[in-house]
Amino acid sequence: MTPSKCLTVISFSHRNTGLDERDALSFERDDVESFVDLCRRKWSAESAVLTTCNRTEFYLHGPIGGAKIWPRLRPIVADLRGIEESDIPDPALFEDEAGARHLFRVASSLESVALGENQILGQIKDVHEQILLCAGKSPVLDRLFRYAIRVGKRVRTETGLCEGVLSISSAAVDLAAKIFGSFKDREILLVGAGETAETAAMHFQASGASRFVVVNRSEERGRTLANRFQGRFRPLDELVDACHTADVAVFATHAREHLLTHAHLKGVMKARGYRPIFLIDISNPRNVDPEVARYDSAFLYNIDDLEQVVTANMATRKGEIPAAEEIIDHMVAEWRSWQQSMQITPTISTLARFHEEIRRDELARHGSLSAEEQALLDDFSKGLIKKLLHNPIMYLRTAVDEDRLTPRELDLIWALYNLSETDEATDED
Amino acid sequence: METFVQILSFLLPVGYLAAFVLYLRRFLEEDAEGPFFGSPLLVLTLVLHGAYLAAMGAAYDHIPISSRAEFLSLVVLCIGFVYIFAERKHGDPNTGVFFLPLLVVGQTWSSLLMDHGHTHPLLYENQVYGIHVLFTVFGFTSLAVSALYALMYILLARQLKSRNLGLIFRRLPPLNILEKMSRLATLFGILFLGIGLATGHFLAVYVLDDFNLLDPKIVITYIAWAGYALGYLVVKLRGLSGLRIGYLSLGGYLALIAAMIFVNTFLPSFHSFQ
Repeated sequence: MTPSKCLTVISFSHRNTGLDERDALSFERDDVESFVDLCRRKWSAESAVLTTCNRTEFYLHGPIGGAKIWPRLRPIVADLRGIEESDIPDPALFEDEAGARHLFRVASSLESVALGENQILGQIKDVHEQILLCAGKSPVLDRLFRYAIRVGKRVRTETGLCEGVLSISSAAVDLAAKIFGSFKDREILLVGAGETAETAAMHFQASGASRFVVVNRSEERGRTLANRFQGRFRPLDELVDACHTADVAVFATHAREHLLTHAHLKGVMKARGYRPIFLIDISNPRNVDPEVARYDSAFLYNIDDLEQVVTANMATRKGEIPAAEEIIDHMVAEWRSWQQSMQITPTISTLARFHEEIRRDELARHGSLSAEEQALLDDFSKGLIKKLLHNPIMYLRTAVDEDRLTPRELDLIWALYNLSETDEATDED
Repeated sequence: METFVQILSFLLPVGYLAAFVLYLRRFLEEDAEGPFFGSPLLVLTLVLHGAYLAAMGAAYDHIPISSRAEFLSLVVLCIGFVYIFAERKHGDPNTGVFFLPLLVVGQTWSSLLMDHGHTHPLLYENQVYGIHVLFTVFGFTSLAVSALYALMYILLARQLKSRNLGLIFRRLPPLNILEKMSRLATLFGILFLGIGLATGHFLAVYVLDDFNLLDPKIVITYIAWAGYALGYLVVKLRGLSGLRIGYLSLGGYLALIAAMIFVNTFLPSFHSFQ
């Protein structure tokens, strides 16, 4: 019987390695090409490498698999990355169905540091594109990564695993977007010039904001931050005036008192024609009087509110894990079915070859017949073989489709017809 | 022509229902990607609906508002047009799920009630009368659309203020878009209703012999029109919080409907559309 090939996944991720180790193992594009080429030449194996900041994983499909392949790969990896073999930690190994399941979990972001993140699916698509560049040479990994991309898409569209944001600043931007839509012409007021204000500004800038005003007690620090975002600086005593034109105001100072009170906002709201203002108070103690939220158009969120939003989003995502796993189970079953259909393909072709050889031998024994008689006999024998093979082949295909074909049944067919001999004879040819 | 009308009478509810299903799927889907076929299907159905009413008018020689079924069908068409215009203007189909059920139910009901055998007054063959009705219905439906957008604004703003962020928060467009859509629909309502009232006056003076300007429905319509126009101006010139505008728009429309129901029940007037 043709030696079976197996899928092996060798994984170095945040679960089993440190950041330095992952950095050392991170593959560049050239490393990947050399690695794929080596695997093909040495072991006739299909291979792919997934490298992100949180993982480097080797996907191999070939005759040598599982724990046997890693000792042979270790020196190659060490050589490509220019590190000592002993510096490479022990990887997590997954074989066959477990390997496919692992990739599907990675694609769904269940294995990510931030549950529900979207970047990983794009990185898996990149690996798939690399596989496609060597078209026809990696049919199994091509199929495996196609399945993984399907899993990633389904999990993102059919479950809430990727809903909501998971950082305070992102939550603030998300909420502001629900009030103003685009930030294109919106003014973002940063009260304070520390790290928190800067992080918030970066998130707003990444979401399209370009008009920043920095209000700070220290002019030097305020101007530095304002310059970084091509914004304007205003001294702290102009805070209330600055609120007249601002759409979003982020308070992140160490002031011990309320910088914006209910009385302040009364004048502010009138001056701005009661346009909405989103007040984000991420300072401790609070800089904005909670009473300002009584104004219809003033939306006030403090650090606790934003943390609640993040916690709720995380809870929603965690609650969606079973739904995501259900999709993964379904796709693993599809993968298994496809793998089994691939396993019976050699059986069917060897069975057909076996019968064809018998037919040719028998025809050869009647070489003395006329050309017309030989043509008749040829047609007759072809039809007969076709009919004889119909039921066994249909049985095999149906059994695979219905996921009930056992290895014992497959072995029995090979033994009944002594197909191993036919297979070896063909290999020798 | 009559066969065409009958076929469309069946097809229109199906078209609106199919569009509603697509809008609902879009509303419930997270991170919806790819082409959205709901809007083109709705546009196609609305165009067919326009053709349906025009064909009905041509086939039966009257403006198609001479029965409840015809009038309802016209209202459905108007709501659909005002909605699709607002959607095109702001490019967000997620509010469609609030409007499409009205179109499905309204047109299905209209198709079921439709009877072309009834007689109608000669007035229903007058072109100016047709314009008057069309603009008045457009005006009222625009105000209804505005009230629905105001309702969405209120729901979203209240979720934001209460920090209770649910499905409404995740799926509805931002507050400023809802406010713009509501204002646009209100402006349409004021303009269309104004034209409807003006053409109605023209008819009263030049076509109808016996006409009472103090007819309750006319009085209510005038009050509503003046109220909306004044409100729109005040908001434009002096500013008002979005939430208060929302409450005013929704409250104003509910008051208008309540007044109309009262008049229809207790003070039946000539605008009966029977």
